[in-house]
Amino acid sequence: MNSINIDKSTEGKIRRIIDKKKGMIKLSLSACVHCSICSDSCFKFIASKNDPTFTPSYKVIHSIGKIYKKKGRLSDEEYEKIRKLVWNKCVLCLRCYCPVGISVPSLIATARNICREKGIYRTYDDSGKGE
Amino acid sequence: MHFTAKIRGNNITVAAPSVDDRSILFQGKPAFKRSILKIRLRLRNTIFGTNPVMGVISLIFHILLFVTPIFLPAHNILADQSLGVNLFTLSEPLMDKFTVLLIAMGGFFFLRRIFIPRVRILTTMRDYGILLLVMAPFLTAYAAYHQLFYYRTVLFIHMIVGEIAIMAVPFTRLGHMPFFIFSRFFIRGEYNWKPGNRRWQR
Repeated sequence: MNSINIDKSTEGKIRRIIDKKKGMIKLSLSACVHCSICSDSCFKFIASKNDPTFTPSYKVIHSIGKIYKKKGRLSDEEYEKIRKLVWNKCVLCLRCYCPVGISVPSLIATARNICREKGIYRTYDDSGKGE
Repeated sequence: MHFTAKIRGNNITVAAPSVDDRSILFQGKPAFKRSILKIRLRLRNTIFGTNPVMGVISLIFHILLFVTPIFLPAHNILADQSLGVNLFTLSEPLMDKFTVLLIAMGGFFFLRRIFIPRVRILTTMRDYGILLLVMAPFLTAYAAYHQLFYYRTVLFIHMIVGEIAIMAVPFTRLGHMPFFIFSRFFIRGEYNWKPGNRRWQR
């Protein structure tokens, strides 16, 4: 149920992406002071009537943060959660503003890259509605 | 400038918006009012516009965090005795009030972490620990100045906790103290001291 379903080559590809961006990810995760000021700059946050899961730093910590900590070895359920977070809750509009200077969009873009390597991406149903 | 359109047989005239909307606001106002308005318009898009209570408290907190220990008479006397250098000082009763204010603002940050959902969702035990580490020197300083508990013990705790707090700066989230200056210049679309826009409405 919660088993890690990941083959060697995919793991290697994910590792390569993480190693390439290691400095940025590590620094960003350790520099985030959890102040939640970035939430005001996210239009998805405002549109969702202040749903806390739309806070940019929450999206970063629970997507790339999780992937980085476990080196990509996450279960399918966890990857599914990350997919919803990085595609449904963020549109990469580059408007999010961090007072400390963390580049939230590039971190979320990295998480998307890793998800694509795992074979997870945004899907559309017949009506053209993304889920 | 006006546009006229014919809708259902009626001529309707519409005034076109000016290129710079703000120029309308400035018309017929004295210079000082104009400058105040300019500042207000600029601040509207910053944290002082979106979240003024947090913005003001955060600003005062960070200023006092530097001012209180650096311009304290007792610290300057110690520096003079050991190194032979000192800065000008502010009066002790004022510093006492600053300390109380700092502790109150620390309490505000603590309560904010508990009661505001978007902050609570991000908060870990480390955040509480760091807040406590920052506030501990001020709590012990207040206790030492008013001679609550055992003076010497409180004073030693004050020194140790203060040293730990300074040592923790490069290894924890407190790193935003020295590196904030540099990181300002790495924020996309900013690269300077000016406040960035972070609001979508209006």
